[in-house]
Amino acid sequence: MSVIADASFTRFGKREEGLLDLACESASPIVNKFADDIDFIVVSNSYSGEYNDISGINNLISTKLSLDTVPSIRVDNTSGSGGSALMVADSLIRSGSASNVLVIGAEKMTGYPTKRSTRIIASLLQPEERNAGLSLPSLGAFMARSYLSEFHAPREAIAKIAVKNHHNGSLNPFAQFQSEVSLEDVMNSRVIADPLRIYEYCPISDGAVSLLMVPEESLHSFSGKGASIIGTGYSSATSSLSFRKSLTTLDCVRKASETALKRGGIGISDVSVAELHDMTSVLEIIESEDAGFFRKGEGWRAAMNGDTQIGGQIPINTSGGLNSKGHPIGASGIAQAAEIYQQLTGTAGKRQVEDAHYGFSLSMAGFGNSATAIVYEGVA
Amino acid sequence: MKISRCRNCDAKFLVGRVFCPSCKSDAIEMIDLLEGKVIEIVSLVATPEPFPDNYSIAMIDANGIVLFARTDESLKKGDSVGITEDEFGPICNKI
Repeated sequence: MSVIADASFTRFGKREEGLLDLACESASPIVNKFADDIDFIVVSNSYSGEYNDISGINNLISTKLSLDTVPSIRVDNTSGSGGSALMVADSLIRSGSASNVLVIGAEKMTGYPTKRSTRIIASLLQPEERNAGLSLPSLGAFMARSYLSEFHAPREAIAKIAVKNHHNGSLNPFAQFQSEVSLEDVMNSRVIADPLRIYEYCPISDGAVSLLMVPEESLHSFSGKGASIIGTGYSSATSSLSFRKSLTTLDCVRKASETALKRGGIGISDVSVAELHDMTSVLEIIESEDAGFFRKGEGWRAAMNGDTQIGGQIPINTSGGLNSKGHPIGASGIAQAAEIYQQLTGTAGKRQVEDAHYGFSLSMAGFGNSATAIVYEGVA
Repeated sequence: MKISRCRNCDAKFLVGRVFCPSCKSDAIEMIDLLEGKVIEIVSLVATPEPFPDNYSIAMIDANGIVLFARTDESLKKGDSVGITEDEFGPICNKI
């Protein structure tokens, strides 16, 4: 069993520093304490070539940290890079191939016009679909329209996700946005892809997060408390949107979640706190159903009732989510795990969920191309 | 516009593949797809390079094949559309 024994963040947002400096800023507090123990580095990053003119980023980072000879790899799986990197690190430890793994998630995306960024991100689509002018935000709009129509949900239910996540972000010192928005603010904000509005989409972000993952039996040599990864599930779905049977279900989320929970030996109702992939607000609702927190078509009611806010039945995206915390793509899945680590070790500050014992994270690639679900248990 | 058709089992699909997703045959040919019905439509104001700054995208059902196409027209669900291509990709117009 592997355990997250430490976590360290940079502030997310528009940052002056370069990608390598951001990665090192997040890793330095961990390297300061445990440099001699780290025997593998996994870097989660997806777009260093496209945004930063950098390749082989894992070796560049390891040298800047003076861990030149520590083996390292880069994991790239678009928005799901973080979940995939955690699965790789967990596998390295469980197989005995490595003991103490430094996991770094980093991305620097600001500095280009939005139109260029939208193009870069849309490069994950199949050419036959991308050529129609699709963007990831437009897919969110198709999904929102289908969901509202299929389940007769009120438009405000989707907007409430943005209200909740901005509130949570206002409590997170590392979040890109640290101010609340009202339902009226969201509903009156600029349309990006009809019917979804700008407050309902994640921003373009820079940022980095680092974790130290160790075998459970040696946790006492490190921080003494952590978040144990008790189950992982990974699932892929077709990358061809036209080949999917439904726009309101993400098969990869459903299957990955089932597998992670089964391997973890717990039920979804045992989970105290969850981080989902809310690139846009409607995704959080649909994922909350596909992960099993709510029945299909009922997630919107939970959002309306406040069931997913801190203090509710199942707090979701206590970090602020991608929506408010920001979405530096390679860092996001690692940041989800770092939030769960903080929640399960009682160090989440104003966002702390009472008596949090089991956590859940869902890192998704593409627009449902693949997903990594992870189930965690607080250990000390 | 062109889509793929399996000569072995007649499966039709938008995204080009080496093997048929239904029967795994590699006997794939390209066929013309000329019209369909709008399933859903979304208007965009934040668009990717190299596309124009404003347009709508229609999700279209063409005899069971789902595809996407740009349009500058005010289309609604159920409209019949013709599908052609411009310098960027598929476009559709009401017929």
